[in-house]
Order: sequence, then structure tokens, then C-alpha cells
Amino acid sequence: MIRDITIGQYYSTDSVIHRMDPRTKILWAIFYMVILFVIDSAAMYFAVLVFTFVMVYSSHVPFKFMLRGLKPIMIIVVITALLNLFTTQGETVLFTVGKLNVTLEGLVLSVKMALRIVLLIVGTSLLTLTTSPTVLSGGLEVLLSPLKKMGVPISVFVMMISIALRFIPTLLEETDKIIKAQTSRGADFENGNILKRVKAMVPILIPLFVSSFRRADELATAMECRCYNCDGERTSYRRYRFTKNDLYALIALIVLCAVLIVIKVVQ
Amino acid sequence: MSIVEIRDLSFSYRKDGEEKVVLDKLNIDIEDESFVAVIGQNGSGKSTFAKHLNAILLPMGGRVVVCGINTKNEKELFALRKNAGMVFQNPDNQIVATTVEEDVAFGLENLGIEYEEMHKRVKEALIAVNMYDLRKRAPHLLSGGQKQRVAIAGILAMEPRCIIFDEPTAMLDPVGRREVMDTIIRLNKEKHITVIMITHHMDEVVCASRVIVLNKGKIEMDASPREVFKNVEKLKELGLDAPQSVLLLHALKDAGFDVEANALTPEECAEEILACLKKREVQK
Ligand SMILES: Nc1ncnc2c1ncn2[C@@H]1O[C@H](COP(=O)(O)OP(=O)(O)OP(=O)(O)O)[C@@H](O)[C@H]1O
Ligand SMILES: [Mg+2]
Repeated sequence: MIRDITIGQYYSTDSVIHRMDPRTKILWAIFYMVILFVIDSAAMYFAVLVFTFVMVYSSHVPFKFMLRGLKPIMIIVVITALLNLFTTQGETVLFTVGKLNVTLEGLVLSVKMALRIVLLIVGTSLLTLTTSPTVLSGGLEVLLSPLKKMGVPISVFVMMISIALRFIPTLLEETDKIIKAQTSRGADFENGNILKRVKAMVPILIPLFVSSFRRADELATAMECRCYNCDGERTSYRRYRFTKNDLYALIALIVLCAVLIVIKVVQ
Repeated sequence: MSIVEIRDLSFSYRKDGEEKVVLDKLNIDIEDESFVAVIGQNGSGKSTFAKHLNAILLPMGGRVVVCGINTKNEKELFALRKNAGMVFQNPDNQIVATTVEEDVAFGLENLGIEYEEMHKRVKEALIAVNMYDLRKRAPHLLSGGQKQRVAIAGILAMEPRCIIFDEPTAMLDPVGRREVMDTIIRLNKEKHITVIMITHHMDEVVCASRVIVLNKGKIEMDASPREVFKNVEKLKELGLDAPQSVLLLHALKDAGFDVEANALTPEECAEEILACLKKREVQK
């Protein structure tokens, strides 16, 4: 189940979207979310749907992979749709279930909400699927850098995020080792009720915590040895440059907005 | 000219109200471009000594001057650490970034090196440790020896004059150890970087031009590897070992064979034994 969640995962391949500047993509994702909450008519939904489809297609992320990522979200989508379906008041009653009326307005609204959530997930996971975490945090750092002037320690936050990302695989590996070690000593993680299983986690978590603190201590020393100074001015190994691709993305965004405005005006 | 100048260095920890002396009035000078090995039992103060060389720890008594900079001089701290890099035992806990090349760049980013210069230096450092082909890899996908070489490249990119290694091969398999040792020796020979290496592997000590033996925070011996390993009895007293070839020759000598027990490498050892056998042939 955990493996199925594709939000936050990076799908490594080469595409126009992968090569785009992270800043463009972040701004783009924000814009996309705003659009999703502004649109209201079926035609507008259709336009955004087509647009999203084109984006996913050009990102070279397989549709199957995308759909797999939607699976865990489906529960939320279904619940939201059902709530909207049964609770919306309206004039044209389609049919009644018990005391609840299902209206045409309710049906339309529930479809809209479901579509909105699905598009939201697809759009935002497209950002993380096509941008490696380091590049993403680097892009965020550049975008948020005006806040540095106000004394917000953006670089420190970004450093923390990137170290966390760096150590996730290392700690997973270690957890695996500890589990094996404890299992070989007779620890049982599979049987018993929930309370028992939670208790069985303690001998995993304690060594993991202890070793994490030791790692943190050693890493801090190693970083100091390499002249790290969290208040200091640092330069960057990566350079973010706007390219033609970014221009196209921007044009695409403007076209989308234009289409939406035209639809609104026509109606 | 000496690159490291240590005068009366003392250091102690306070534990349970008791003062535990770790380093006891050390006096050491280390020549520029030399290769010094530091050995000693567990807890003899080797790591504590190493941490004084780039101001991770500051002396409680005496002074430490490295590359002409007193470690107590806070204004020159970054200049000191740029010149005296340090590589630790656990390669996992010294790699900061999510790709090899970005990790090598980490120190340069901290020093505020410009973009073009930074890329040039990262490339050179990666080539010097034979890791350029794997520059895009994530660190957790590397072997121990490769990770340690990345850590070395990260220090190397800062263009230090001296690198301190604290048991750099302790967590590696034989292949990884070989890779790392070859890299260290090459840096010393070709790039003329002063190497100070703490180790428990006596076979690695043989690569050094000078050995310092620490015991309970004091210098017990300070000589060439050949001199130090002549005195196997004393090393054993200090809880230390000698290279296998030395031990073998000592055993042969004790058993009455006519050999000189001063060979260090397996090759020298083989020659010595061969010479002894030849002498026996002649006598017969
Ligand atoms: N943070 C600390 N607090 C208290 N005592 C310490 C601390 N760090 C080290 N010591 C003590 O100082 C002594 C020397 O430690 P050091 O780490 O320098 O030894 P070492 O020669 O590097 O040993 P090893 O071969 O195990 O790495 C040890 O007796 C140790 O218990
Ligand atoms: Mg040590």
C-alpha cells in the first residue's frame, strides 16, 4: 500500500517536463491549483482535463503509474462524491433513497468535486514525479530567497530537507537490518493483536533512534570539517536557467487561461 | 618545513567528577608532504588527537599550529579547515548530498567558490579518486569503498595541503580497503598532500614514512615503520600487532632460522626466506 502512493515520488526519465526549470514547475503547479478552484462550468472542466492529459502525456510518465498513484486517494474521492450526492439541496429530484433525495444539482456537484480532487492529485504529483527532490528543494530555495531578507532561514530549511532525503534510504536499510537482527533473536512482529505488535516495534525503534543520534553527531562534525556555516553565504553547484522549454510551459499556461476566459465570456 | 606543530598539547574529559587525561603534553612536528601513520590501542587518544588538528576540539593546554594557523584563532577557522581536511571512519555519515557530484561540491559551496571554478574542481577531484563515471549516482547505491572515495574527493576538491584520516578503512571489505589505500598513497605521492592516517591495520602502516605510537595519551614510539616493527615485544606490550610478514620472520628467527626480521612487505619477507633457504643449500 505504501509503495502505491506516488505523490512525492520521482519518476526518473527524460522528457520536456523533466528538463524544465524547477521554478517554472513550482509556479506552474500553484497556478494550476488556483485554476482548479476557480473553474465551474463543464466546458471549463473539459478544457483543464484535456490540458492535464496533454501534460501527463508529454511527461513520459506512464498513465498506469499515474493511475496506481490515484488508488489510495480513491476512498477520499468516493466519500466526497457520496456526501455531495446525498446532501446537496436542489429542485430536480432524480430519486430518493430512504429519506435522502438525490438531486440533479447534487449529481453535478459530486462529479465536479471528484474530478477536482483527481485533477489536483494528478497535477501536483506531476510536479514531484518529474522533478528530483534535490532539484525541487533547490528551486524552492531560489523562489523563497526574498524571505531571507526578512530573516527567515530558508537555506537552513532546505539543507534540512535535503539531508532528510539523503538519509531516508540509509535509515530504511538500517531498519531492515535491525528487524532481521531482532527476528533472529526471537522477536515476533507478525502475530498477536495490535497492542502486541506495537509493543514489538519498541526494540526496533530504540536502536534506530540511538543510531540516528550518533549519525547526526558524526554528520555534523563532518559538515563542520567541510566549512559548513549555516549563517554564511553559500554558492550553488546547480544553476537554474530559464530555457525554451520554460517559455513553452509559460505559453501553455497563458493559452489555458485564455481558453478558460473565452469559455467564461461566451457563457 | 613542518606543516603541523604541536607543543605541550593536553586534553582531558571530565566524567563523574573525575578528570580523565586523554592527551598528555604531546609534542609533535610533522613535515610537509610526509605520510604519517598514528597507531595505538582503543582509547589511547588517537581520534582526540586528530580532532585537534582542524579545531573540532581545542587544546586545554599547549598549542596546535597547522599550516601556520593556530587552531585557537577563530578568524582563520575556515582557512584552517580548508587546508586541513578530515575523513572519518563511517562513509555513510559524512556524505551530505543526494548525488555524488553534489556531495563533492558541498565544501566548495560553503567556501563560496564560483560556478565555473566549482565544476572544474569537482570534476578534477572525482577523476583523482576514480569516481567520475559514477558522478550522478545516489550515495546509498555505492559500495563502502566507493563512498569513502567520494568522501575523499569532497575533501580533495577544497584543495587542502594536508588530510587527516581517522580509520578510513575500518568499515570496508578487502577490495574497498585496497581502493582507498591506493587512493591515499596516490594523493601523497602525486598531489604532494601531507597524509596523517590513524589505523588499526598494521599492513597499512607499512605505507607510511613515519609511525607515531600513542599509548594513554603519550607518545610511546616515533620512528620509521621498519624501526617500530623491529620491536615486536614492545608493540605486544602496548596491545598492538605487527604486519604478518614481520610476525612470520620473528617466528622463524625464534625457531632458529638464520633470518633478519626487518622485512615489512610480503615481497621483502619472501626474499628474506628465499635467501635463508639458499644459505642452507650452500651449507649442505
Ligand atoms: N565525549 C567524550 N566524553 C568523555 N570521554 C571521552 C569522550 N570521547 C572520548 N572519550 C574518552 O577519551 C579516550 C580517548 O578516546 P579516543 O576516541 O581519542 O580514542 P581512540 O584512540 O581514537 O580509540 P579507538 O581506537 O577506539 O578509535 C577514551 O578513553 C574515551 O573513553
Ligand atoms: Mg578513534
